Amino acid sequence: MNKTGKKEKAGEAGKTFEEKIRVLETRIRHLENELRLTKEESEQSIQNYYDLYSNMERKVIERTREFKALQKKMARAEKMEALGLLAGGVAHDGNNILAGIVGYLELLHISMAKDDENMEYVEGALDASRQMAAMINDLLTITRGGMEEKKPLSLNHLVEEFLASPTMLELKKIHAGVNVKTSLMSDLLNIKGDGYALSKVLLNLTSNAMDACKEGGVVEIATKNIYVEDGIAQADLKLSSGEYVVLTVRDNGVGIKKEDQSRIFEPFFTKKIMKRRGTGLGMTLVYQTIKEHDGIIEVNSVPEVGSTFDIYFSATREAFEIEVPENETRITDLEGKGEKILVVDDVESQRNILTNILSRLGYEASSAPSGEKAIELFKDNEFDLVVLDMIMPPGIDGLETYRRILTIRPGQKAVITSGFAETDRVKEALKIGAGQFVKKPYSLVRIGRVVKAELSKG
Amino acid sequence: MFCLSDMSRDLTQEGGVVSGTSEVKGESNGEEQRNPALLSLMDLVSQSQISSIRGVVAGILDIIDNPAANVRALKEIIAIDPPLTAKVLKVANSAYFGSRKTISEIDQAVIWIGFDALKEIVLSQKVCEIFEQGHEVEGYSRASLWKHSVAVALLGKMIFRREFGERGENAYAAGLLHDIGLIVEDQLMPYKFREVLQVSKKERKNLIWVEKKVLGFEHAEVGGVISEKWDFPDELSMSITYHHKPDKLGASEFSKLASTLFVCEYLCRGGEFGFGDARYQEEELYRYCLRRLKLSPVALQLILKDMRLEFARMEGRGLFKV
Repeated sequence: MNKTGKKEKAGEAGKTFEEKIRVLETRIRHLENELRLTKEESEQSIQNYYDLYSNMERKVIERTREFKALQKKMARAEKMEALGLLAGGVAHDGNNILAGIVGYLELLHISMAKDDENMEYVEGALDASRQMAAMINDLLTITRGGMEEKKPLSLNHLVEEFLASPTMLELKKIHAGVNVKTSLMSDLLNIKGDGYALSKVLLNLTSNAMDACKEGGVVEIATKNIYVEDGIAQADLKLSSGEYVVLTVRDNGVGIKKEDQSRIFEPFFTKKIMKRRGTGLGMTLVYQTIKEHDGIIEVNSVPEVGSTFDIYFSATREAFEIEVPENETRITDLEGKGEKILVVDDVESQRNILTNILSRLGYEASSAPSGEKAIELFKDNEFDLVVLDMIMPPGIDGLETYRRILTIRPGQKAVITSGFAETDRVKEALKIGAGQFVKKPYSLVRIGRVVKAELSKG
Repeated sequence: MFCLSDMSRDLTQEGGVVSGTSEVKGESNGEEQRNPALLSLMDLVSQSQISSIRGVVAGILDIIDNPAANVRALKEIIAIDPPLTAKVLKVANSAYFGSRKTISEIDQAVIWIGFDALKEIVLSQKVCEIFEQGHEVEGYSRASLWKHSVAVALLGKMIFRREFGERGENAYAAGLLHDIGLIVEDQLMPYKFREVLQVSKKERKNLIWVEKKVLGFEHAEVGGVISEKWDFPDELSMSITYHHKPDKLGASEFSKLASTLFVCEYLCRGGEFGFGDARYQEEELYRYCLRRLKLSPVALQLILKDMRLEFARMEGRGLFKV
């Protein structure tokens, strides 16, 4: 419609009417185009906002769900921790008290004639005390570093040992109608772990499985190697890539209700009608032990169908050593020849029990109520052996006591005892010369053997 | 011959440069065969800071080219460039957009100033980076070139919208990038480029013509090769390559944008939107383009007037600066 090259000057005065019309027409056309494009763009913008908005909405829902799940998990963890702290405190003090009870009972037991009419009561009391000690031991394991050093071991070996153990035989006797099968992978990789704690895991899972079974039920214990590729989820678990060993305990018993599944690891949580008394801490111990092994436990359970517990441990390529089991010891093997032994413990009952035990075993035992007092005694006396309690507030601890004794008597033989598991300070004491560590409460046999062994060392 | 000292700092010594500014001959007018000097210049470009804008620019051009692309795609592109994100947010918060809320996230920017405006901001902020790099060669002003590029971009977009009834996003991008070849010459061969400017001024010859004589190529070709190497959409790289000779594209689909670029450059020569490259004897090609695009001088005058207003508004509200 327009010819180029004309010298039209839009926006200037002196235009003809025709020219003015053309300017207006053009202007209208421009505005129409702008309007149409702006409308298009607005519509697209609305779509964009909608996309963004729905995306955010989805994110909020997702995050809220994640957050709630996390909150629940955290609440559970906090509860476990609080319970752990409480239980730990109770267990520690209770352990000391129990050590007194067991100690005096053992002394009473030894001093009684075999045909004493009260023997039955004493043995009953000892039995009950031992059960209490087992429970406290569980509690201590759960609450703080009850773990021994982790060594390479074979789960197959552990399962076989467990199946042949007296505990298992007893379980089989109680659940005579339950069949226990194994399915162990022959070239199973080793894992690094605490054999004692893991055998407890096995015991708890198996005994629970057997409890869950009805007459004719089957419990299966299985092991296998698996390899996890990076980023591939094994069931619902997020495992990082690598080699794993899986321990499975499966039963076809009553199963666990969905709402109870998250609670089974809580201390003293039970839905079972107990056939025999447990400590109430079995599954808590299982959970704790697996956590300390950096393992993962997965529970799959359907009521009236059965439960499966899968535990994933990281595999190790280190070989394991088979430990020589301790031989049965007779009391006469433990008897001393009048060697001088100093017992250092801040708790009076503990001192009395140990000096009594040692005297009975034929040693010349004396005692000191603190590290400081013990050092005084060392200045004027010589002892063949010193038995040191590790924790003696408010005085110096066993390690410090031993250090100072060593400056007076280099090469002094010593045995360390404590209600807690082996700590770094215990390890340090062992490093500078102490022979062995004995965990309280010590039985006559255990402390007797350790003292004897230590004295007979060159 | 050139001074040796000049040659030594010049980055494209080899590459068949025609020497002797006194005996300039007629335009060779050859096909777009790739000239070795141009290719070695491209190697320099790939190692220079100019290449730093490649990823983001190519990404935004893809988004502009793809109507289905959404805000998330744009966010992903600028997320990896925190300084750019900061600049974009600064512009989004400028008086020009007059948002009452402080925009602190790209999502918010989309909501308050719109996706289309945001694409333009991101592109112009990124392209602007190369106008800020390096030293300036005397004889022309980098700031003027940037102003010129923005003016051409705005004008191109408005012509596309008002006259052709199209979104004109590619026209805006082409406007911003059409003289990228000049930046390359200015930064990577400053001594020769200075000579080009001097000769052009003294002999009153078109810059393009002097470039061909002194360098063996002109900046539209440089820009064309870059936009091809950087995988810009074809429409863009073709129109950048041919923006000095859109008639060579005949009736091809790309001639519309190339011709528009030519018209815009013609209208933005000299004066407030020029950068010191006066154009001589191009009226015929200009008239050819107007015919090709069916543009009337009345319409162009109206659009140019609005572009000036818009430009002044942007400048007045601190939207851009070099």
